[in-house]
Amino acid sequence: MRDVIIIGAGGGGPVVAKELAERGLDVLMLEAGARHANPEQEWSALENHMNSSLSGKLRFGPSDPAKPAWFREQTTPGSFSQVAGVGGTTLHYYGNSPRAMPGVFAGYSGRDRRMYDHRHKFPFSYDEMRGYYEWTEATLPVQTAAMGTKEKAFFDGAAAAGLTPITGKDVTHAGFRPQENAILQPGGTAGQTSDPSQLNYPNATGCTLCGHCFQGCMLPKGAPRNLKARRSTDNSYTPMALTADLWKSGGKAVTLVSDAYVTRILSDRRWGRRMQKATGVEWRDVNTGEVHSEDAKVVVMAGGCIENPRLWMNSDLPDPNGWVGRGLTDHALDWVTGIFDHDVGGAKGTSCSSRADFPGYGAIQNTANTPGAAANNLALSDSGIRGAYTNGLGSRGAWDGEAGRVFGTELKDMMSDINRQMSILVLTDDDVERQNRVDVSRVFEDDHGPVARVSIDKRRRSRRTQRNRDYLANKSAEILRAAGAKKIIRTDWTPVLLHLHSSMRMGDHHRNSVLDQNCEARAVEGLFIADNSALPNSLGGPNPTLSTQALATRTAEKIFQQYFDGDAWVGSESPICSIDDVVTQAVINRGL
Amino acid sequence: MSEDKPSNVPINSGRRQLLIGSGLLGAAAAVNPGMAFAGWRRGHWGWGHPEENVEPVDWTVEQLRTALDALRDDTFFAMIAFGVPGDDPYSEYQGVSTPYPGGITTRADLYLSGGTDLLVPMPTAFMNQMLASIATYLRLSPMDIPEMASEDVGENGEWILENLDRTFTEYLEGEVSNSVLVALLLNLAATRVAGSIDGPFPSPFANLSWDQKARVFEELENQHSWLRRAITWAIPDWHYREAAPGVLNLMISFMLRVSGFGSYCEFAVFNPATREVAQRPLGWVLSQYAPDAPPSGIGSDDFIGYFQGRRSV
Repeated sequence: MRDVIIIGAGGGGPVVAKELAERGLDVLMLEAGARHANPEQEWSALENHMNSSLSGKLRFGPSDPAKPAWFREQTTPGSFSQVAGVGGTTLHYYGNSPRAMPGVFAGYSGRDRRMYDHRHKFPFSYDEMRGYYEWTEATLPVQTAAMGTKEKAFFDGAAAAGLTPITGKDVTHAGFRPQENAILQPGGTAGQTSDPSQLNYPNATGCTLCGHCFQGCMLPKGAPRNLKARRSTDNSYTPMALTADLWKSGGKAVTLVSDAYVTRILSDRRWGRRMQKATGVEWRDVNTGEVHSEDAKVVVMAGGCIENPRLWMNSDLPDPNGWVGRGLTDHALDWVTGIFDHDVGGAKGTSCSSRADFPGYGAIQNTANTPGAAANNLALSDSGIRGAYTNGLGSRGAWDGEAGRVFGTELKDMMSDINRQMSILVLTDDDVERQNRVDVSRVFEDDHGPVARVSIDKRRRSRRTQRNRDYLANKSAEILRAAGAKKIIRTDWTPVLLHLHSSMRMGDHHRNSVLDQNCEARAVEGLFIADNSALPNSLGGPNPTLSTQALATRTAEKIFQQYFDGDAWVGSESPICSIDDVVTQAVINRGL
Repeated sequence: MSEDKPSNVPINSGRRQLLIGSGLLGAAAAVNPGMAFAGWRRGHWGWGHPEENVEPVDWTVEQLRTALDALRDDTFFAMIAFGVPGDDPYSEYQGVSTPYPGGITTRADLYLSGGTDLLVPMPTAFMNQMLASIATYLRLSPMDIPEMASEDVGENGEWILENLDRTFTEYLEGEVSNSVLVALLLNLAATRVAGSIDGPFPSPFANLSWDQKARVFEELENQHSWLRRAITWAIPDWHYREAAPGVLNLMISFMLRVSGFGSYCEFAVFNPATREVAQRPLGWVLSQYAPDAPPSGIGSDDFIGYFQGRRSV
């Protein structure tokens, strides 16, 4: 019997794995997708090769490229942008690691407290969370991002639009700032040259400003795995988890099994406050079809906002209050693009190093894009085709004309010089709403049971969600205008299921949450959740990974205290950074 | 006339509209003109009966597959020209073109059809029930092609349609790609919007102007579109009926979104052996991306410094 089995090696699972491995527990981590052990020999910087959701290396699908991606049913328009494999969706994230808005936590008493989704707050205070943020930021590590052409253009525009800089990690007012990124900042020749012969480690350290975060980070070339620039969990927490015995006295290396799709959580019925007790898991080897099972004292679900509800339902676990899979939030993402008559670095430098935050509304951020993604993002809309039809929407605002899809010659014109594009991603502070949910399909089934079915109807979002989204789109357009854009388009996306949260939410009341204040399932003893689905809300708009990782750190502590009679460590110890020499040596010694 | 000719029982008008409006009859006739009605030309239903002195020939499933694949290709060329027009015949015929290449030259059509095939694992029964539902719906709510819905096409004409329908049914029992289904639906929608469509291409959708193509998608994206009603009208399986609109949404949004991605990504010139582009992709040329590629860049000299000199907060 294992101490702990963790289902999923994405943004959250490896955090629990590393923290508990450091405490010497026997941890098994199962990942449905690929291991991605040799990126420099397997990956490229090419967007279809890497990012195609159907056939790319970073897709939600099996490691064998000859096999089709894993399908999910959708009842409403939208698209998925998630990744299976060690690293999960952090494999293609931009490393953005802002903290959540303080207003989404219990006990917040700021004057703007009614501006947030006040019925679905964190069940503990921001002050408590701050300690876990600091631990996680030091472990990854999180660093203030450098500035390139597009960041300077964005900052100039934001200042010209009347915003002031935010100078701390906690968001205290509306303003702009460099991103706090889980990316090692440029060192040596990095950022100074495009000559590939000059960009090998150790001449170059940290981010080389290649602009290919979305394709997975394998740079600088020749760097040990834990010294690759971006701190996706394949480069940070997973190498630490796999070497915990080498860098921590009393630590125990995690056992990682990839291509292992968990199909069932095993449980016993029991008397008492909780209805069942998790006893282990059953998984299927994706390559051979063999079925395995192991028992554990504690099971941690970390398969993501879509797969967790599916696994729960396919395991016939209890759902006494009907909240399993419900309350899904997605930041109601939107896209605003400006066209300039000069170079604003639309495809240059890091993928995303600047942002502006608007407490009570959400956030926006400037991104660099490869050409296929840029065209894709302009052609993704719920408002029809600009100039032809609006699909009943086509709102007007600080942008030019009606919102909508850019198509035909307009698309070609806007794509005619990608470096004259400045694109802004809108991250809405969206409400937890019961009708936005994940359950299982009645039609589609794969080797692992009925597939997940996702319903998130953009047109039925709450008034506050829609107001916030419109507000942020207008702010984006104002910044672009102030920066000198000659033409500004709001695309009005259909849901892009990338920033997903809260489908298995924690909460302060047994009537509206799946998890209690410690992220343990209210209905199943010994079953915890440690990914975005455990978040109680959409954080007020900020990108979710850091908050999920901080919360997962807290959850690891709770597991250690409740089930293994251990003590908490955050606040009483100092974290070991994932780029510490002792970790680097361990990674090299283990041949990772 | 062959000895085993079935009795001349007209197939119902809905099924007939499905065969014609989807471009299937036109595509079949384009593959083997000898099978066509005398009045059939280039996707347009004209006047007159099938030649009584021409021996009708059985359509085989393989011939039909060839015809449908060609129809799919034609339809997808037209789709790409709609999204990213260029200097190709499809762009020129739709009345919106550019003096330099567009998505068709990048072969985004192949990207689109390959992607559509992988998009959703459609059970055969689901696909069949959707098409049968459309036929039922069209019987009650016919499209604006009255000559085929009501006109007597003569004994040979009926035999040809019946034979085509039977072959199509047989075809649908085998492996049918999503891309063919999408092409049929897109052409049906085109016929619904524009009625009988004349033009140089077998695909009704390809014979539309750019504005008409936009009207097709306006109809398809509408939550209350006739196609949405048609595909769910008479699906007997309740679960299929519930899932059908979502599947339709998925396919339509994919067509619109991926026309752009397929045109500007490296798909057509990717070399899997080197994991690099064999030459600079046309989409990169069109967007002035990575002027020095290949190879793909692994870094840039874009570092300016830190905002207000701040290295940390």
